Amino acid sequence: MRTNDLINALVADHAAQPAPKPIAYRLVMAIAGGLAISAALHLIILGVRPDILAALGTWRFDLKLGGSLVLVIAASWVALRLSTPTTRPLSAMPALLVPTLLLLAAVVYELLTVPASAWLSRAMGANGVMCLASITALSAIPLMAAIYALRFGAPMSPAVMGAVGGMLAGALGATVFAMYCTDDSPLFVAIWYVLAISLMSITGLVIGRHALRW
Amino acid sequence: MHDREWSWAGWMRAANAGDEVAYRRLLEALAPFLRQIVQRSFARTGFGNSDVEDVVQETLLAIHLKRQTWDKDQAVTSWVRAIARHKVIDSLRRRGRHGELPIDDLLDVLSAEPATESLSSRDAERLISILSGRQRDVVHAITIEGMSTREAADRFGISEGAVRVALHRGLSALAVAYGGWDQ
Repeated sequence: MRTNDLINALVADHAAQPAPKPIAYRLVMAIAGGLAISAALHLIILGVRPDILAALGTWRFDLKLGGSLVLVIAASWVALRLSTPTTRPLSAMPALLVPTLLLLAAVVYELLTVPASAWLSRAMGANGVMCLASITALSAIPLMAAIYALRFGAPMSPAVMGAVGGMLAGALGATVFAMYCTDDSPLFVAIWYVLAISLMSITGLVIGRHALRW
Repeated sequence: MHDREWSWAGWMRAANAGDEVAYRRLLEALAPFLRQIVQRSFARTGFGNSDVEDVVQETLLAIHLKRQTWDKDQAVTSWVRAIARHKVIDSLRRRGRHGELPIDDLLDVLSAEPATESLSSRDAERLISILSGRQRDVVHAITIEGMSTREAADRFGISEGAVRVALHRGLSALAVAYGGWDQ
């Protein structure tokens, strides 16, 4: 095939769709769709914790929910930056410091205000393994949606892009699960939520290496 | 250099607004630029000129399929160069030479002798033949035979919309086939 022949085809294809949807639009749709399905699953299977209104008035719960949402926003922002081929993977990462520092500050505050004898029970909570399993399960559909949206990008490193997509999905799962989970201590969040989100990041990395190649 | 960026960015913006002529000008201007990048990278890594045109075409296809990742505040030249770099590295990796490439300085030097277009060395008919029936017919008609979508629609007795869908899917499948990886 001559290069000019190929150009004919590309121009014809462009004429059919001059302005493909921006990645930001696709990612927002993926987040909205993934979140809606996860939230529905969550309501059917787990349900909202009975004391949700009272919990909303406590800083620990608000921080758990708000922190998850901050991570959703930060990971989305990083994913969008990474979707253009000129962005070096590391240069987009500092945005993730915002949720990280937020959680660290909460952990330090918790350690300073709660007696050392209560640290372990707070960190282990009622059911850490249940938390881990629920967040990963609730993140599965958001992960598929995120990978689908990110396939339209052109990342320098498909693996890193996949990991960030996994982190985004994990954060969405965590946001939904936070409504059910009664363990609000930052110590619990720093262990179990972070573990679940890390698992999703690794899953995203493994999937992204292949699925996000271009 | 600045003139080049100025025209490319202008064509890119016009193309995004639906101007086909500007899009063709852009791609036609990009082809020799890419050829130069690919030739130099191949020369530096000892690959000579074999399959240069394949990588040029693969890069043009990627630029086309990923055109929505260009941000209008960004230099077109650096965006194009980033895509070319990705494709060159990919093609070198496929040949089993990776890890030791001076990739960062590979693409810096760009003052080269004008390159002439050559045919892609890969058998185009064979590459297109990996496509399924309708996609193969449409891609063949529009690339090798140079038909318009209207003409292709008349020939195959389908709507122009169906031609466009087949063309788009065919091109996406070709991008995958060029890379020699499966999905």
